Amino acid sequence: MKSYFLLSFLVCANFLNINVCQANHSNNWAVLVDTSRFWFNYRHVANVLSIYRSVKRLGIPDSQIILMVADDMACNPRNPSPATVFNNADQQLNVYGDDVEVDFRGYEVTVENFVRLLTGRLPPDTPRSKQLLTDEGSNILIYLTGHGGDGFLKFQDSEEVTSQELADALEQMWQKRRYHEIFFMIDTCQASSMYEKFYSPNILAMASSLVGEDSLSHHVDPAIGVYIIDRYTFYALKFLENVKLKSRISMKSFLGVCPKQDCISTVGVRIDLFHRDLAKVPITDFFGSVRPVELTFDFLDISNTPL
Amino acid sequence: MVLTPLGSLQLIETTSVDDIIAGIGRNIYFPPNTDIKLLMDSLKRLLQTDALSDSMISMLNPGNHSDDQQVVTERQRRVRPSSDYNVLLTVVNPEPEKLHVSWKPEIPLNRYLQPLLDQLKLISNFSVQSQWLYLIDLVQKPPKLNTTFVLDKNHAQYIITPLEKKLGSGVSRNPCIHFVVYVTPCSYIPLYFHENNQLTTAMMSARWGGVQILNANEMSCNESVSFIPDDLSIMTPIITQFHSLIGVPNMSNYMSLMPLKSSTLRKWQLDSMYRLKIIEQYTNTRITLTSLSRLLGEISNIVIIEEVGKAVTESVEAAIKVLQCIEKGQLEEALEYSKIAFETSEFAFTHPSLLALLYFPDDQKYAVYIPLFLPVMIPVLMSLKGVKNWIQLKYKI
Repeated sequence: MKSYFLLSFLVCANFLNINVCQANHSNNWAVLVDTSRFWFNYRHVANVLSIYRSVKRLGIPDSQIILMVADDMACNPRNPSPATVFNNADQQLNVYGDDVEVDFRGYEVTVENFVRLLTGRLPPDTPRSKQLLTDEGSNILIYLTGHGGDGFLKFQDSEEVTSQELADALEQMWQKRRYHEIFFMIDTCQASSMYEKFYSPNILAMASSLVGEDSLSHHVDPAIGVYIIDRYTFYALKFLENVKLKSRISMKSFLGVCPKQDCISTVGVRIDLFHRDLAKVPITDFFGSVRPVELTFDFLDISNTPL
Repeated sequence: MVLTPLGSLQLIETTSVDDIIAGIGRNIYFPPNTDIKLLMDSLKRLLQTDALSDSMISMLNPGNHSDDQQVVTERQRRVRPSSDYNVLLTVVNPEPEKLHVSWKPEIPLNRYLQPLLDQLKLISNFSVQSQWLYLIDLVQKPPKLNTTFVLDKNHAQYIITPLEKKLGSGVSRNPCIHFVVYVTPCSYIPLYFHENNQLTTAMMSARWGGVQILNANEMSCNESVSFIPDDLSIMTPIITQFHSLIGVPNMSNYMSLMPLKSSTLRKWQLDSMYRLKIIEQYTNTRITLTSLSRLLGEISNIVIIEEVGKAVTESVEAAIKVLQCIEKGQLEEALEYSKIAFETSEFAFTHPSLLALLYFPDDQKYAVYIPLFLPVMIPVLMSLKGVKNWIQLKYKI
């Protein structure tokens, strides 16, 4: 009898696993954060706008993108070509574009606001554009960039979010059924330390460097006078520019986006919390928004509804 | 005739039917020779035992669900639980210069949708709005199949994404159910969605809403007559999809239904909606309160202000009352309490004050307080020597 129960349990567990693999999401959200200000951090703003450009191009509407940018590089008096932010010294790609909706700017980019946003603990008068209104069917892309160290990411010059705080915030999101899956991306020094403490399920994490390594910038634009983008995001954008809404590129190929000869730092990946086969997860599950549809063939007869 | 009370069903054995038939009120008719097992199965379907346990299981343990694929699909279609919803009807006319559409959405919405919303008023509040948008292209170029233009299902799913950007996010934080009526541009008339050699004018996206194509007659395209669409043919897909999106049970696959021919719900359907809502809100309360208490257990620094404490107590009391009312079969009261429990638990969990002192570990206390107090303490410490001398001097004398 006992063995029979055990067997049925195993079969059930197996079955459930399959179900988890097949479950799909119903909407996409993105939380994109640049935590550093001042002109010499131009590259971090270029980083976050690169990802913003990509998710928007692939169909996530602005109402479902929370963009936090700590400084305004496009309108900085030192910017030789105002209202632009470039990812490359050849100035081919203006990642600022002509339609940017920043939800948290300048001094609004704080650890408190970030954690409040994730956990949904907001003052009642918070506008809709500053809320993450996700549910158990939402896939969320979280992208962070700024200056960090082992176990923390600095916000502005005054405070930092620790890896433990971030992991706890994500766990609360999971318990409150605020996500279906999360893709966590971070471009900062010792970036992988930020995802090591995660313990909630269905999170795929990727970092620009391992603990003990610095993440490096790509190149200087002499006209601007500072580094204009970081290596990891530069190659990520290069990859994403080739992705179309209908392309079947998988997350697995995205995880190999910046090999060591390009990045110099080692890109870190954490897949143990994620239960789907990465080769079968289309990149648009996180970077785009393709809503599942079904055609309606059987209609109700409402012809006698009274006037 | 005796009126069947809310939440119950009356089984009527009659020779005037040859199959089990669900009535418009709370009556089920069956012929005398019906197999008892078949009747039981039909009743189980009607009472949605499977769907109720599935929504409970899937909420408590994400990833687990019922084996019945239809039950799961129906659950995944439903909009997320909330006590308020917005319904937004958008009419898109991509070529207003070529085609004038003369239609007032208010009239059909009031006639067909409003009675349904009135029926659901104990469940949620719905606020209905409509808007017109112009000059928005279908990004897809539909290919021609024989005499019609068709959008394959695989192409149809890419229509919503570009549309969504233009629909406006709204200012409200309530979930929004979208209905889009897309007036076909003159050069693509007639246009249909297409799957497995079947054509239709409507499609639906889970938790989001529906899109339908409105083909104008060719005459309005060529001449300067305005196109007057038929209210009923526009509202039929909208009402059908609205039923699926809010979770009205679809029993037509399992048994015959007495025709109602109205947008409103049969009484037993409304009862099922009540049950579903009670389960949803009650389970949600349970999850939220459990998660909150776990959080409090883990982080001792957290401050619970009186307002939050009161909300938690209120929520627990209401949740207990839900169970008591369900046992007595009082659906309406149970629904009311489950709503209170849901709203107060949500309020307690997302209260902004919970975050104020959430993360202030001991090492950070040193880091903050030592630099603050040490400089102040130095003169105090240094003056201790003087104080000691002063005391010695005083008591020696």
